[in-house]
Amino acid sequence: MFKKASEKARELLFLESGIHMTGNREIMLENCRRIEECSDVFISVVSAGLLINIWGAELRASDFRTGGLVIRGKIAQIEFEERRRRSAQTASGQNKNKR
Amino acid sequence: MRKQLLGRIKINAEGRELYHFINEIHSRKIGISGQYVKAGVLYGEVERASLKQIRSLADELDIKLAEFELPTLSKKLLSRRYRIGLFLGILIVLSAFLYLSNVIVTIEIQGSETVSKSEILSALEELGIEEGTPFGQINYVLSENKLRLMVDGISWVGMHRTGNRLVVEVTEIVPKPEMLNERLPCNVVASRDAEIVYTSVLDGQLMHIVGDYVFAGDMLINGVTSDATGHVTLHHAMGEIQGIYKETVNFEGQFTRVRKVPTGETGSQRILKLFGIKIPLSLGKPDFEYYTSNEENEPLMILGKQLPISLQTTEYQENSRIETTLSEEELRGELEEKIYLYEKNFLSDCEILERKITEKKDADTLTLTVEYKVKGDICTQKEILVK
Repeated sequence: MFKKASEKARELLFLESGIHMTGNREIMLENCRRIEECSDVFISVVSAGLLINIWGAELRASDFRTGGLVIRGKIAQIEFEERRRRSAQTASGQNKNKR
Repeated sequence: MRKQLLGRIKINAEGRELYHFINEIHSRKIGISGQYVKAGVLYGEVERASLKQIRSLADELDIKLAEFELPTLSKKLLSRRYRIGLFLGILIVLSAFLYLSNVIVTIEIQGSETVSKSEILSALEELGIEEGTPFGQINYVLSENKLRLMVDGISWVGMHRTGNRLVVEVTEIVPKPEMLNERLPCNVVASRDAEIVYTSVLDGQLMHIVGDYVFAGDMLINGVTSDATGHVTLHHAMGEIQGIYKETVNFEGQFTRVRKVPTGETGSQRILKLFGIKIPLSLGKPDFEYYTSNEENEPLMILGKQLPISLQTTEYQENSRIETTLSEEELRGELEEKIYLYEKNFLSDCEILERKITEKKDADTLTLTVEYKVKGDICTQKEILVK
């Protein structure tokens, strides 16, 4: 119930991570909270509960003071990880090891 | 364009807290583009205005920062900010553009063939329209109507603006063809007292024969004829009647007269006409009491096209008014020249049979009286008024 309500609220308040792609040359990410890694072949960004990993070549990130991020370059792969689930998985794995 | 105006600084940052630094830039909403990390060094571009914030942030997080400004327009301008002449020149050019886009630079007159362009230009000048007049001050409708009334021979005037030119389109009046009243009933009468020597009648009835002496106003060819039955016919009397008549003309001249004689003093005035603005290149015109002047306008031409830049040179020549006395021979020569011109202009159609010149001399004047005996046409038409 709470999960559904929070999802609805995020949608209404535009807090979801919006992604717009232009071919394999450009990605515009909205609500980007943190940059985890930013090299010319890999960029990792935290955005609204998601960890977005972008693989490619000659990647460049540009910040236009809007809370978003524009990534340009030759984009090869995009990967999404749900951060809560990952932490939950990590926790369950640790429990198994303990046993 | 934005980059060129705001200026771009390339930065290299390295340090232990590099990702903290990157995220602080992001959270503080400092614009940075083209950023990437390679071998533990952040490369990116920021605007010049953000550099202060980046520097303080780097100091806070103990980040080693290297910066290099890219060659942009704003960098070039900033590096030349003390060159006042450059900025003054740009300002002058911009002001000139602004000024010239709002005033008349050239006036073009289209469609005038018989009416001279200088006449139209001087009429426009009287209306306050000349090179350098702001377009906003021109009342087109009023000026068109006034110009049509001021210049004779114009039936329609249209004025419009094309860029910084004022185009004046003119339609001239087509003259009414002259009416030849060849069928109007008339008589032919003598224009002067003469002895008839030749007659040739085309229409009408001849009233005098060769050898008759007629007075001015006497009827030579009658335009009213009647037949045996009493039927009256009106004619347009035509014909050629020549007579020998006398004509006297006086030519008079004075021995003393005031003449303008050049003193030899000269002066000139030069004015540069630049897009309608008159810039004097010399200090006023010479201070002469009496003078004759000659004005020359030399427009600047490029590839046969006249530019609205010209150099106006006015040459002044000083004169002095002196009283001179002519000798009798000099005055007679002048009067004889006048006689020659009179004969050439007024007696060229006639045959001069005799010329008798008598001379009369006073204290100050010399008069030549010429008595001509001339053979020529003595006809003049006189309309018959029929009730």
